[in-house]
Amino acid sequence: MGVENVESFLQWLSRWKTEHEAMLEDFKYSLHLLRRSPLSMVGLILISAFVLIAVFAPLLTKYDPIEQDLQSRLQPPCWDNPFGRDQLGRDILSRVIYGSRISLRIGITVIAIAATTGTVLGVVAGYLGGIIDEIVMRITDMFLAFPSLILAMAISAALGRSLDNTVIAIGIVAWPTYARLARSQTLSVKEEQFVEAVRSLGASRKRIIFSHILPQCLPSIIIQATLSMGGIMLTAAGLGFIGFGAEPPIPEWGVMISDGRNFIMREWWVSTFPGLAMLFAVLGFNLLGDGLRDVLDPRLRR
Amino acid sequence: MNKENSLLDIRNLKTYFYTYKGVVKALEDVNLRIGTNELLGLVGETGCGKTVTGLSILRLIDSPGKIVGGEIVFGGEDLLKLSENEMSERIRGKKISMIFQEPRSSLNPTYTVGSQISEAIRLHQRADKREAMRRAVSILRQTGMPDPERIAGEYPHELSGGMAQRAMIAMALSCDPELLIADEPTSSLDVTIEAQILELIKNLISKFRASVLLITHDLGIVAETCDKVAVMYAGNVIEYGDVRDIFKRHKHPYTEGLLNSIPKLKISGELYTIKGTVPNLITPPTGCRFHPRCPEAMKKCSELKPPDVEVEPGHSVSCFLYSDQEKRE
Amino acid sequence: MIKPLIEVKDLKKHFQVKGGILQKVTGFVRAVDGVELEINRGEIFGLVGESGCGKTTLGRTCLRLIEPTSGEVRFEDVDILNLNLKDMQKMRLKVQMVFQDPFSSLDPRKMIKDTVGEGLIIHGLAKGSELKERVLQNLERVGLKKEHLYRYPHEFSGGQRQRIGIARSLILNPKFIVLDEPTSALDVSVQAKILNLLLKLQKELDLTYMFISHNLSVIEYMSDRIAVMYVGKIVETGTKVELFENPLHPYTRALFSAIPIPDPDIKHKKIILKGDVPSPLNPPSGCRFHPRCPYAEELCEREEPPSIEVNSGRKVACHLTR
Repeated sequence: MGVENVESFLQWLSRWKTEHEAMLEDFKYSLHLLRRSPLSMVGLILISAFVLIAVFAPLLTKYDPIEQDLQSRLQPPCWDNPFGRDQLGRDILSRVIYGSRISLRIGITVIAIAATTGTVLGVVAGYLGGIIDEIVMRITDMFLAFPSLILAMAISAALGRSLDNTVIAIGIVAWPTYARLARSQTLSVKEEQFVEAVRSLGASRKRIIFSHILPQCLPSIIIQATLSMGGIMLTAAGLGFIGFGAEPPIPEWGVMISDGRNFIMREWWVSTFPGLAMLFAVLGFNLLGDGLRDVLDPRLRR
Repeated sequence: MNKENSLLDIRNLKTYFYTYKGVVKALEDVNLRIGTNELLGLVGETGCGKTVTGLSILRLIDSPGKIVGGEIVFGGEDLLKLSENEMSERIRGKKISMIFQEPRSSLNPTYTVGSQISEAIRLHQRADKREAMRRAVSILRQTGMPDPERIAGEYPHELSGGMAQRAMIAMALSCDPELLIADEPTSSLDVTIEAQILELIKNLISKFRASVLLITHDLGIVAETCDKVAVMYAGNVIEYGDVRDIFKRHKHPYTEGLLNSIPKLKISGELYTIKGTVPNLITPPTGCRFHPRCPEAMKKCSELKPPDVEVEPGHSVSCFLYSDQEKRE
Repeated sequence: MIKPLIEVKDLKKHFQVKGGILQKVTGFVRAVDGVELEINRGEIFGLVGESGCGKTTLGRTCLRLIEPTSGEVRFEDVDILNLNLKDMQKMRLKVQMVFQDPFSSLDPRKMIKDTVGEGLIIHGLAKGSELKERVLQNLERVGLKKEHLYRYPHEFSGGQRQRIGIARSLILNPKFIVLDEPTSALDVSVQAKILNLLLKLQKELDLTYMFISHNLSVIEYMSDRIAVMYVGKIVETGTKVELFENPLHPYTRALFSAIPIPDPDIKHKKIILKGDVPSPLNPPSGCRFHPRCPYAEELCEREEPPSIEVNSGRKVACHLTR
């Protein structure tokens, strides 16, 4: 019984492969282009490492990130605790490792919310034009007028300190960029002849927007998302540093850096290691984002 | 043709493009001659290599393209052996000029027309600002531009297509070149404006005593303006001759097919179509590149590259159908 | 008398030009400025003119891809400009369009199967394997094959893409197709194949075409009847033979004489018009052609010439043909 299933699956797979040969060719070409840029590859490696560390966190460390050991407070790095211990005796290495989960979660959630709402609003505004466009644009104007960190702080303060509220605050600050981006893409795509062609077939506006225009916006949205991951993580860390953001004892990197503020001269490891982790993660996303931008740029492709 | 008379002599030019999918052999042994005070039409369809030929002459081929072989003899020297500096100081814009299809895209939108032309003049000739502007206006007048002083002060986007093209022609002629390469100069213009521009180009050749290499896909333009014609297919010149030779006594099967597929006024009947499609130049057909589509293809056409045969004085074909002819004479 | 399939009556399309801080309307581009025409069932109607003459706008208005400013477009004696959304959807099954640019008229992210079959999906006419069957049938009609179903547009040449565009327009079994410069972006030898294909399909499927082009040789080859447009107006209409044997309007004569003829022995005297094609934003007063017309008189500058029917179906708009 199992063998039959596997066989029919393989048949289906080979048929799918011939049918979608073009798509696979395209994908292989994208990978080739990506491989050509060494910095993008560095970015890819950093991000993969980041994601793997976040996923396999429990396997990588034996210490509990929130378990305190006041007797060993501020212990310098040693074999047992390669990153040392913080002011409450917690192992910094495991906190940095678990912190990657927090940062990743924040990044993905924010982007999922902000990118989706922003893009949809942007595409609809761009395609329908008129008063809807005006309204959406003025709203995005209002949001973009504020420096993002300040606005996030204000929202965070209003909502109260928690990880979820941090996500909401940053999400509210991030969506206008996606709306703007999606709208400008839409404005150029909607003049293309294939959109006219589909209209002449009788397509509804909903169909045109979601089936034809949205897919064209995806490459730049993806690039923007990759590039803004770094910024989002930094904002979250910034909020954590100031005292908003994730509530203790959650091992968020920004909070950890903030915790080490008072000991920075002598017990430098408390702030430094989370800081380095942040640096590499943000760098990784930026490098990858740049690489993706070059790969997905239609002019450079052919 | 009289070798002493030739202004430009291209021999065995090879230009390749090194791309992800492979090496595109865009030009494979191109042979071409232009005489003094002559209008040569370089005609062919998309992908045949005519634009690449024009760019190769001025060595404007950028990566991933590269000129990999041949000679381009102009005024006694091989342009392919000159340094980049020598090309830009002595040749480009001075001895050989080029104009393109989209006139507004070769004109800087942030400078007025007059200042661009006078800048070209000051670059290549000794003239101060006022003198250069005077000459610029004079050339604009010679291109039939109405009210040239006013036009000199306008920006390219303020001009219509026809006027912008005249401005570009003025700029190209401002330093008295010996050869003007015109790459599809009228393709983006309306037919009534096209007629004006072609008339202008013909007049200017006699006035400036220059030669023109007119690159186009429009056989009608070629018939009406050119003295000599070279027909290109897939990176080779497959037929060359006087304009009458090509239109009335053409020999190559591709030339025949091309002329027959044009809708001609008042001639009815289904249009002839050449079977097959333009070949992939990464893996071009062996031997004669046209053989897979040729109604007269013989066995050796797929094996060897046909030689250039002179079937009449001044009229040569690259085809095995005629390779015995020369031997007989 | 059989009524024409398409009747256009006094059609106008003016685009607003806005300017200034308050985006006030500063002028109008009179793209189509009072056009009358009739197309009979089964004929190929050629619409020719230079850039800015309004032929593209006219074509699109006939499909209601652009909403006109005023006038009527009647299809089978129904004014399509007054139809509600539901009836207009049904109309779309009968009136289709083939677009000019093979490189942007197909969605680059959709496979050919989805592009050609989209019409059927939109109108809920077929799905699954039946959809695939019908798509394949139409692809084969235009000379493409089964293996092309799962490919993307960028893998095809210009000529093949135009074939795909034609297959897309045929899938709903329309009666009338507007072809907007379908071969202008193609090489001469590819053009020949597409033109032959279009003629074959017209006969096989009993279609009516409005064939828009700026290329006079192509128009002459394809059309039964032709209309010449200049700056938003039709200046002359007639059968192909009438127009090419004896063009009456001075613009038509200049236009036809300007076509480069691929025969060096035919040295015809070209009528070289002075000046540029005027902008539809600011058309000349009276007869729009008068600033460039070699025969212009004072009347031409004052009054717009009416379109006069000199023969059955033969119309000219010129003061000098009285």
